[in-house]
Amino acid sequence: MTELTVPSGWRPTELLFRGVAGAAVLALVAVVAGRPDLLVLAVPLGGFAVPALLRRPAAPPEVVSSLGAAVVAEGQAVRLRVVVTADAPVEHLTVSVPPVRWVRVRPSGGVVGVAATPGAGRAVSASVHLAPVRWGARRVGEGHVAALSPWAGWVWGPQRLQSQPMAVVPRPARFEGTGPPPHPVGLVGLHPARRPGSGSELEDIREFQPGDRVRRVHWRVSRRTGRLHVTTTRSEEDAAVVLLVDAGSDVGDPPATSVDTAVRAAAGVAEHHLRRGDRVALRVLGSAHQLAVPASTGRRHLHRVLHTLARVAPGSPGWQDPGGGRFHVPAGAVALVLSPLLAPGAVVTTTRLARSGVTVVVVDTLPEVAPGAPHDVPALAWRMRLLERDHVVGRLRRSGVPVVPWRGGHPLDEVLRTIARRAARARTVPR
Amino acid sequence: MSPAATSALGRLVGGSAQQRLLAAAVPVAVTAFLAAATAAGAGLAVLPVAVTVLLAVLAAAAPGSAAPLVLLLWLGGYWLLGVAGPVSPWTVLAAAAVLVVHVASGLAAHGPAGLVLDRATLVRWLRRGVAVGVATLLVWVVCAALARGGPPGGRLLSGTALAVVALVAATAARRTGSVPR
Repeated sequence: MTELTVPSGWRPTELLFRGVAGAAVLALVAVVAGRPDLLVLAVPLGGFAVPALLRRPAAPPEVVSSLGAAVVAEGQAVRLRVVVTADAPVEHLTVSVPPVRWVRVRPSGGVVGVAATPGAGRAVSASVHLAPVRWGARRVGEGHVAALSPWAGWVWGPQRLQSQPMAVVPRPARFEGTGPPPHPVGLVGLHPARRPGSGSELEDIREFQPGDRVRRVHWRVSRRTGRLHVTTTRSEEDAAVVLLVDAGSDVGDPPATSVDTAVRAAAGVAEHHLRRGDRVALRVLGSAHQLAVPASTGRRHLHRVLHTLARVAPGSPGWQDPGGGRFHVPAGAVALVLSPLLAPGAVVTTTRLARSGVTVVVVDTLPEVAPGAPHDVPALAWRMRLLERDHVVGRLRRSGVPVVPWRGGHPLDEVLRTIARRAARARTVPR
Repeated sequence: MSPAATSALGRLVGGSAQQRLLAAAVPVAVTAFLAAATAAGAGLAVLPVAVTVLLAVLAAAAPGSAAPLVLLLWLGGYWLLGVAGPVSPWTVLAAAAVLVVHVASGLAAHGPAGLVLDRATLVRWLRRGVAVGVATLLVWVVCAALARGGPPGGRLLSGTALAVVALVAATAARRTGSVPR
């Protein structure tokens, strides 16, 4: 990028210099040569120069740039507002914020010019809209600002606008799970439990016993039978979901790489379960930074999960979990490993979790990658890598870990329903 | 290719439609100037015309540089050497061309190539252009009237011209404290 910043302070513009120099030369020649017509030619130049000279600003203006929001969602536009406050009159303000990667700028090109009413002590502002199109931690708003005095005689700038941090949270992928959670636990939540309790789902109608609440009396049945009957309900519980996002290997073309898919899918699954009142934990495997969010619930927790996902930075395929893949998984939780299964660390962690009795489902986030030419060495190596991966997937499936591709959540929902049915059958075996 | 040349080419090719229009106004105005000079009695020699066109293109491509000033001084010299005699009515057209070159270059230099000037700015500069154009016309009327008056009028004209130059110079010195630039 060309360095445009100049020392702060007002400088004469080319327009002013051209007006003064051109008018002076033509007028002098007119006098010396005795040519009044040259004086006529000098008037348009001098006519703009004199008012511009008379309105020279003294003090340099102050500039403040601010982002409308420091945290935005993918595709959401945010306004970058540049305010120039000057004791001297400012007639025109120009702001240039060139587009950067993954950030769209409106207007196109990021150049905005704003006319101001000449007057001292007034603030002039110009706005550029920035719309990040990919999640992640970004720096935006770097550009330049320049101001012109009345009659464009004096210019201030271009001065550099400092970039500002912006967290772009992922847009949650659509996931509408309809099945019950495999292992609902706890005392509160939205999922009907297997034991009776004070929930809202009807379980039975039975005779009144001491201790039953009067509001539970079922009057219609009581009148028909002649004895007091009460309704019983099943308690409602929540489920815990642990999301393990594999950021160790990132394959595919942005903005649809394996990490992109994993992050958006994790956001979608987290949003779905948190909306249902479940507890969601997040752990990012192989990221450049250690990122983990303990299990909790609520809207604020969703924001915490999304903000953490926005900080995911793809690491190296050979990552090693400092804890050796051992970390706390809440009782009864389902672990969803969102991974392309290319990094050994993700496979080791998945296997360890499954062996320790945790219900694990692997969500395959490997995107479609073009096969390449038959004799191309990198393409051949990639095919060999995929064969190895197929072997790993087969091994996981044989050990009872379902591996489902991420296709908007449908296969995942089916697998979760199957696990829930199996869990229910296992618990209802008569003693 | 030098950065300046790249920037100038980028302005012509990659600029907004408005900026391209402003750039196109410069050669159009220069063509009008040449037509006015020819009508006022100047000959159409190939080399001076070629130099004029070249300077016009340079001024259009680099409005924020010294190219427009060089072009305007060249046009002044072209008029001085090509047109002889008293104040011609074609001088008004030539002055209008100078005004258009000056304003179009100034507006084009308001910002980078992608800048689209808002309506308020354009209207403001249109008003200023009209005001300065009217002042130019008045000066032409005075000059034409004085030119018919003979030598005493010529001395008055010289005095007026010197007064204008002195006014501009004094204003510049008072407001800037030094030569602007």
